[in-house]
Amino acid sequence: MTRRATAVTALVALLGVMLALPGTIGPSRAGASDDDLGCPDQLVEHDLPNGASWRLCARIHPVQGLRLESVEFRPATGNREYTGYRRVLDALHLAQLNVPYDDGVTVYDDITDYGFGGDHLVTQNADTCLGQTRPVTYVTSLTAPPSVKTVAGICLDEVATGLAFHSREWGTDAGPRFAGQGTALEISSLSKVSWYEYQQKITLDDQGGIDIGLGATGDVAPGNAPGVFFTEQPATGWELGPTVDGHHYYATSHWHSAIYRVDFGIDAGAEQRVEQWDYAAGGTAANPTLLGTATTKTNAFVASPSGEHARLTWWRVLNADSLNRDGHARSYEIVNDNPVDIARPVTRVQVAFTNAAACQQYASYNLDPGCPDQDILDYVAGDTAPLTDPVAWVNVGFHHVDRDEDQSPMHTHWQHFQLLPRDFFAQGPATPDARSCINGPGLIDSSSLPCIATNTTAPKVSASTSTIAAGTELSATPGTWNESRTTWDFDYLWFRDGEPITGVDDDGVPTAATGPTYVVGPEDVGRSLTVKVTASRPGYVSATAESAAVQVPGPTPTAQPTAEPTHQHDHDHAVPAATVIEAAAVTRTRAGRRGRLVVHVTSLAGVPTGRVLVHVRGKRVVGRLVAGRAVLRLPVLQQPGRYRMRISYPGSATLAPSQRVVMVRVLRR
Amino acid sequence: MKRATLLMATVGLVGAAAVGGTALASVSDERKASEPLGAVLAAARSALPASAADVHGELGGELLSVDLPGDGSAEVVLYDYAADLTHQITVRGGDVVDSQTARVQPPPTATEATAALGIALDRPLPLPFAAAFAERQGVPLVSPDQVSVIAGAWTTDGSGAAADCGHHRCVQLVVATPAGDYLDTHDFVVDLSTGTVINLGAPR
Repeated sequence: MTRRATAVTALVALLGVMLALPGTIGPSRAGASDDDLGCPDQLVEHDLPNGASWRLCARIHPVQGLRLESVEFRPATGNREYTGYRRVLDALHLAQLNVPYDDGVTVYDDITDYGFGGDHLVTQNADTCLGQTRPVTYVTSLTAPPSVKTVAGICLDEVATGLAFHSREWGTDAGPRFAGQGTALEISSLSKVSWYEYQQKITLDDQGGIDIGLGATGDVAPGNAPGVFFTEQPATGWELGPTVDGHHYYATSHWHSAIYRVDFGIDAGAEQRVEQWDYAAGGTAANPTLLGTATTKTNAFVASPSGEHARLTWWRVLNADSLNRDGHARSYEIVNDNPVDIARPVTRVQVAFTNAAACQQYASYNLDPGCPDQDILDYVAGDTAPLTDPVAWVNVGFHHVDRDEDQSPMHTHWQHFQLLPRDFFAQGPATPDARSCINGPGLIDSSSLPCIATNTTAPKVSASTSTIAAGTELSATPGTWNESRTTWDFDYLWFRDGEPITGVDDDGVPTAATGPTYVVGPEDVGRSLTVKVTASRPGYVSATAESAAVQVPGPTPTAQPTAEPTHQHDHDHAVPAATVIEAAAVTRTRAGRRGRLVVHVTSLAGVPTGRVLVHVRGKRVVGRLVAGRAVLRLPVLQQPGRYRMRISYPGSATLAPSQRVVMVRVLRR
Repeated sequence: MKRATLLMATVGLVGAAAVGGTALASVSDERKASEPLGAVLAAARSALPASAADVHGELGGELLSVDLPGDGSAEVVLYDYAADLTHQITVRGGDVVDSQTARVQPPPTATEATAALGIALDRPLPLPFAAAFAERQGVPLVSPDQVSVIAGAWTTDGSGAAADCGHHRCVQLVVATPAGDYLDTHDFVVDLSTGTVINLGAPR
């Protein structure tokens, strides 16, 4: 233990220190402790507005650049899927970037020959990073002797991803309509390798999806004409600029073959499986069909699919020991529809799978001394063990034919692939409550077949005696509930003057007045009694309805040792139930523009309706709650900075008012 | 005694960084942080053979990179020019916990790029890129600090003019003038192991 503490301490000194940055992004104080992933100084944990969360370790490797490890996701739907986080990836990094020019004269391997970290890392500033930066510590050789340097090297940002889902049930806008805007955590870094500059950008969205992008900017390969990068050969380039003395000069086209190493860790499974899906044509010319076949890949392999439907082939990694609520194995699939450079043995591979080996870090010219100078073909050839700990080597190709518009500074061109959950969840991990029961065959009809328990007639209380007094037995019926999609189980809780009726049994264990009957006691004389009925069914969203009050006649006892210090409410009415306001802790907008704020107001006693108010900088906006949710257009704020925003719900006859303060961050125009 | 020094340096850095806690602050504090770097490097170098040399032939090997995986360890990569071998040494808590050696050519450092450019300039007849510099800038290129330079590792399949590259540590230079022009450096590589320029001939 002592040794470990010392090591960590030394590391902190080398790393510099992760700052506890204000705002939305950074280690969360809620939930699991910061060092759960074993990387306290590199931890990124971020809650997205819909309630989903990602956590992972992020650093800049001196050669690989941006490297993520221990990537874990928590869905917005929480316990409907699972509690807390589940592992998706053990590690993810760019394992090679092969840049051959079409004229055959030059080839660069920008990762293993140059590297994306160290002195090639570009410092983030307010123009490159609209979110927050993380310090990166590395050894610079620009000083003699080499020294430690710490710069703002990683950018963390929360970005909008647009309309995440929309469902309109009716043929017109009059009926139920469900819409959600998506957001994502974006992690990026910039590296400069001579004239080319690259942004590594990994976008982790609120539906569990991961987009891995490489953007190339900087400058088109420069030089004299005629030279290596500007030739007079139209077949291998594109003419940039005007004709010079009758000569045409063509910027040489080239590949960027980015090969990523994706070390899967589906639910931290000890045994994971790779499944390949191929498609073939069937049927007749008049009625063609497309037939999919799954193959479990039992050993390391290289895939260079060919044939008519080769581009439809896809792969997923699943954990057969981790099942979603439907009993389906959790998996992530690779979505990669990019072309490959077939001229070279390594880059003609669309994807290769191997068992994870620590010494295999690069797709070619491997730099780790444990497997020196090897490439993915060597790894596959030497890997004879059953394929149970899969690493995918994903080749994301981009063939760049320069344009006049690509000239300095070059407009960023992108190449991407995605890792998407497939059966990692039983439903979409942001499914709204109103659609929570839609799983498999069945009708979608929120009006007559709602997923949420809906009370149509309030619970009723009847008495065993004509005059209610101590000893009278009260009986409750649940009232009427929609039962067209399912039947409900009912639970009862009795209230005295709006407070749950509780006691303590002989063993000192707290008890409560539950069940459909209740015997009036002396302490109830002069008080008002109600019962709340909760309708529940696994897979559905519960709801509660309350009976009308039953007044027990008689004088109110004056000395109430158990009474609350003050009774502010008339005994004829139930105490209003608490309400809770939920909204993003920080909302971001641009100076001079109107931002949006989504506010949810919830209560155990029912769905709040009415208005919510937002005050910021002496201005006020009002929103109307629909199904407990309001979308407000914020006032225009001219100055960049941070503003306090007070959200208030004024309450109703049965629901108490509540308030919440959150921040709005106004960015420069 | 060494541990105590390390701890104090840490406290200093924590304090400095916490004060500068703004969103886009640079938290560079090279003076304080160099103490633990020195300790890590001293531990790593203890795993090298006594004859290990840097790019200038001095003892101690050439530092290529340090990776900090976040688990409390530091992975130090050093190149031994005396034996032409790369050493990957893992240091944890001041101790070497793993050391591996192989003939691989990781990305060159700025130190090596400058050394290679020095070799490329130290010739009675300037190479074409140096001549192009003189033509454009109006003065001869005589020192690496007249240009900006980076270097890429250069290896071959063991044939041709640069057949030793891979076994030796060779680099290709990318050189830009103060005007931002890149000079054509595709006709040669520098063998840092022997301190010589290898002519690759014209591109076509």
